[in-house]
Amino acid sequence: MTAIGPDEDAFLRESSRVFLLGTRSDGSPTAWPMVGLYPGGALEFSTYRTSQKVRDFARNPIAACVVAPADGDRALVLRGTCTVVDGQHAPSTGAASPPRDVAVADGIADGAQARMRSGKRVVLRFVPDGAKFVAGYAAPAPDPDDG
Amino acid sequence: MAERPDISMSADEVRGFLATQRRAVVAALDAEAPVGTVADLRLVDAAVEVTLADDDPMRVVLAVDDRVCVVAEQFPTYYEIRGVAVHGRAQPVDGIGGRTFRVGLDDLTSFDFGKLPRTGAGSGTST
Repeated sequence: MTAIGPDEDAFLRESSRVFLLGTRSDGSPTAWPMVGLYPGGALEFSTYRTSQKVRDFARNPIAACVVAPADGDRALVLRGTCTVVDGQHAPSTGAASPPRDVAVADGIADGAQARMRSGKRVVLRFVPDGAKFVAGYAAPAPDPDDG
Repeated sequence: MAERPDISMSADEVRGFLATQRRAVVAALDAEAPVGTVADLRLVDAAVEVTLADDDPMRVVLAVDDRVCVVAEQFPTYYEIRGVAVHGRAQPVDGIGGRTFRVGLDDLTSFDFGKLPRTGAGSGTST
């Protein structure tokens, strides 16, 4: 793994389909598909304060992310830590600026923004300490006779 | 507080969804820390079968610790978002250190946003 460089930074700014990886209470791995917003330096996720992932990261902040555009031939794997941001209810990019690559209907976005303002939702912030590109969702299938 | 609607899939719906999916994210543990990758996916009997890229270091990770979570997900539009996360042990199909393994469908979570009410409590449009 390497640090976040210009290529990784550009990829994160263009891609918001993120699988957030953590551990369950028994220590086994788990993952949640999320919309991840990247204001620079960290990925931010909006989620319910009462969600399982908030409890899991409060117990163990060691985390990873797989940033995987559905039509991309590569994905970016990140390792780092994920914590709840006290007192922050909307991503730093702004509650009213939805990601460009995820289609969200107006009513849904409005409802999510209202819940952010009400404090029902919190922000999870993932700070990466390493990154590596791997084959993505639209990568060619491997040759079944190879390996 | 309004009760949140149950948007999980039935066993048949899970199998029907997984049968349409060709790629998935694989989460595992490297020295107890989560690591992930993207792999080929197919439904085989009562399991998912995942095939890693030939040079994917996840092969080594799973040879040491076989605990795994495999997530398939689609999101063409909000109400078409569906996903399944399968938790279990990676059982090698082509030998320890191979690139294909199976995970049984015994421990899974699923969601189908098509089951959300379109208005009112739990719809995503209300507060």
